[in-house]
Amino acid sequence: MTLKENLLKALNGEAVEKTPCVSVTQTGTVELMDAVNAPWPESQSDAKMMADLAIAAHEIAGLEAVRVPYCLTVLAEAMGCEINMGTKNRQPSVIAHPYEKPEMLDAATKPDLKSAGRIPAVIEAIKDIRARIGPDVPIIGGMEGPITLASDLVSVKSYMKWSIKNPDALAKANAFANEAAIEYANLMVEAGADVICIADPVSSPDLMSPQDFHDKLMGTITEFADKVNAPVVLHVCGNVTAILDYMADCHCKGLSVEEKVEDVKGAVEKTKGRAVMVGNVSSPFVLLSGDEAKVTEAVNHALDAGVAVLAPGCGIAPMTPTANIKAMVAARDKYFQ
Amino acid sequence: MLDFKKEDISDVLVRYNVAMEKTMTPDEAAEQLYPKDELLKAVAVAIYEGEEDDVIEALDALLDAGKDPLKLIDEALLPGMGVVSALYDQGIIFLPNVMMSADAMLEGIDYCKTKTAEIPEAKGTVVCHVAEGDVHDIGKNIVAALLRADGFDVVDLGRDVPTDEVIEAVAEHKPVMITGTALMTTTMYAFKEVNDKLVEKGYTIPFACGGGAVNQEFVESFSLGVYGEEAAEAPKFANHILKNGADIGKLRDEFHIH
Repeated sequence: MTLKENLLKALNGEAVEKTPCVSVTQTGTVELMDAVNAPWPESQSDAKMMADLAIAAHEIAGLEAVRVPYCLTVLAEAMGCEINMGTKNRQPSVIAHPYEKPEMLDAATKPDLKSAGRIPAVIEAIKDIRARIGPDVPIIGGMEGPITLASDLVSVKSYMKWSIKNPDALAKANAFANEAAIEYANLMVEAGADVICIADPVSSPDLMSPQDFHDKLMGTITEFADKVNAPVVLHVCGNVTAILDYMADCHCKGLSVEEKVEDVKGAVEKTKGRAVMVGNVSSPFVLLSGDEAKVTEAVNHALDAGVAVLAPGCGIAPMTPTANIKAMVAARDKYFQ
Repeated sequence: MLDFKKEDISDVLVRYNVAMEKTMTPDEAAEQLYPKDELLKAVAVAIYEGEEDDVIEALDALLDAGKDPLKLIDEALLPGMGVVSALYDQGIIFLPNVMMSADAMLEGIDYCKTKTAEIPEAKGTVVCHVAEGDVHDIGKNIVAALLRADGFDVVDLGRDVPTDEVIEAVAEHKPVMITGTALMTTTMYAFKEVNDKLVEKGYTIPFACGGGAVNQEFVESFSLGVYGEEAAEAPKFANHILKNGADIGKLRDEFHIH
């Protein structure tokens, strides 16, 4: 079985011999940037460097997929948000929002995404990656989820305010963001992405209530999963235990969670038949600051709990040693010996 | 007079099994916590609903009844926000409500201040900032909102704040506490720089740190650091300092996980 078949089967809830070990979240680290001469922020924009760094996480660190790009701002930027491009060890972030008032949304227009911002670079990078790694290694296209994009467009503060005071404006923001998110995701799929992972931190119970997730957010995510022409993994940061049941009904194949979800076994059972669990080796406490023993312990814990895809619980921190990523794959190998 | 104390809240919640069974809606839970006095209750309801105009209207009714504007801050606005904080602590309402309510309460405080020439006695000042290099300010905004909701004056330095700016703000505002938040592991090391500069200048002020990838072990590695797992702990730290003094060891004993 190829790595791609293995990942797609696992995401589909089918039995596999060896649980795939990938990262559905960002994979750029300083060690890998140095190894292939593709530092941030240049590799956030340059298609060739973007592909080089993505492939390094597979060829050098041993992850069983190539995941691209390295931030949650490509689509936000294309849609008109102002971006700080970050540094070698800091991801780009959104610093200004084009539609902070409800009436501004009325005049909002979606640009031609194919040529907007860094989207052409991402598309070119995916094509380049496919050409270089062949058909058998899966490519995971990462992006900000529609809820997070909506909050980037209107600002988190307005987004929260509208969730209470102006549900119509909230719905409008969600619909506007989702149309763009679906189009961008399908551009990545056309270019060669096998799986789309949306990171949607703003839909976490840390920010929005589980009731609002159910009433006002999950319809948007479900529509996204229905209209994207590839399996979707939904990544939500924080302790998402309270919304797991709803996340499982969003038609996403995989649910990626971090170590703050303590009862992964319970999560696997709760979502069974609707979605599979992806995760949840702690990015900051294990991969960044732990050692081989700690990585092995976390890997065994996740596999014992029954994750279908073994992965870091969140984006890999840029200062993470390659040795710890390799140790994650090695511990998985040992588990299945 | 108010017949409402913050300590009563947990009793009410237990009595009605709000936290456990969620048989009550947030509105019903809030109803149990409002002051009984109709005029005071109107302020609390307006804050809970985040309706700024209604807060002013309810305050006007109390002012018409002869209440002292500054006393209304302590007797009407802060207890009203207390209802919101208590429901948030219990997981009954969520962050959007707290942000809305805090805005409504702050509007009310500003309004009360315009009604008098006296200067209100603040509980104390807290300097809040996001670590240098980090532009993620949602955690800091929550911390600042909750501190304000508890009656503290907040000097909000914003995000990506250079070390020297924190030190200058401490010299200028003489806060009871500093808070630092960081989402990313790469930026949290700036806390150590802030700590070392403070120590060098002879400050012994508690420096509450938290957020994202920050953990207790790291925060304990610098002398003024006190780790907060949740944003809601910030006002608890500040109140503890007012009551027991700025003793870092005591704060760690009380709030760190052992």
